[in-house]
Amino acid sequence: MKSVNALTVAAAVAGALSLAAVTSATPAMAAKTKCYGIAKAGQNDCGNAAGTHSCAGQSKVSYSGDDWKGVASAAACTEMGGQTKPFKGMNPKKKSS
Amino acid sequence: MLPDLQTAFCAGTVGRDTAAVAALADGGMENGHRFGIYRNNIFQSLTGVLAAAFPTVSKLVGDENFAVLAHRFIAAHPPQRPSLYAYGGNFAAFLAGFAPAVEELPFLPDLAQVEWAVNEAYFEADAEPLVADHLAGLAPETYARLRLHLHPTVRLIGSDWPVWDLWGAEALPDPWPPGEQEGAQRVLVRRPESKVDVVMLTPGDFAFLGALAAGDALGEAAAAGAAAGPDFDLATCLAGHLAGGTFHSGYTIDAS
Repeated sequence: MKSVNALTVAAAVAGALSLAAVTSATPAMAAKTKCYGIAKAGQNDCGNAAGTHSCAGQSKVSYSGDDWKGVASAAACTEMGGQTKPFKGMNPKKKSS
Repeated sequence: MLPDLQTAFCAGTVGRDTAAVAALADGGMENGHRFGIYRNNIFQSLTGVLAAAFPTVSKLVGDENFAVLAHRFIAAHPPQRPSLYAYGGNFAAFLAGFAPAVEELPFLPDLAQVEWAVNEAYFEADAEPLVADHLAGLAPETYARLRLHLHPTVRLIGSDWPVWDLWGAEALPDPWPPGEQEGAQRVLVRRPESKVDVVMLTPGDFAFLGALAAGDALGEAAAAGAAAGPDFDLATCLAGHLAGGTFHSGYTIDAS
């Protein structure tokens, strides 16, 4: 068998799309809310509000208000002492370690 | 003069060439001593970088053994780029060629490959994953000519060893070594959003995604998947990887 025929492929794609419609919750997209002020130095997710670095793990300051981590929801962010908008300086609710 | 000094400086640090140290200007304090401090700091910090990128390898061999491995690696492969996050890419290949390590723990190079894939996926530029909604507007006649591309953060690693079980392990599985049946595992690494996923694949899914990565169309890739695993099902496989974010949003349609 060199290749699966076009009809089979088309049917499989249609099947996959209808399956996806049923299970539209995408587990990989869970950490959607950008939460600022909770990331330790080097443990931030991609980018920061100040534009001083562009990617993950580059933050040199713990709990900086410019740096975010992906968390599940705004409620989870608040619970962790963070804010969903960037802010100036260090997070007053966190002590640097 | 300055290039000579820089070359001597480099030879004295990672190359441990003590003669080169003598060529440095005498600052009143013993140069050998000053240089030793500098050299130790380099090895210490780079060992820390490697331990952060390869936490499971480090855990399974133990801190002391890992420091020995790291020091040999650093001496043989000093950093080529001024970015520490990019350091360690050839650590897996180095381990494969280091007989004392692979004789005792033959899975180490494959495990290091998985850990490096996680590191790469983490630092790779963000890209939009393909979701079912992107394809919802397509006419069903075009489905057969659909060409999917893997998300740029995706890495595929096939191993003769249970690397998915070993990744993140605190200790070797008991009993060790595993029987031949349950030995081989195939791993998919991806980062569709902000979190890196490490997923175990069936032989069929692994062959299918590998064929897509090589540029095959869906029909050819599905045949490769079916040949590798009797239980391969294209629809289930596509649905799972659409939900997981394995594909890139930039799909194409072949000309008919």
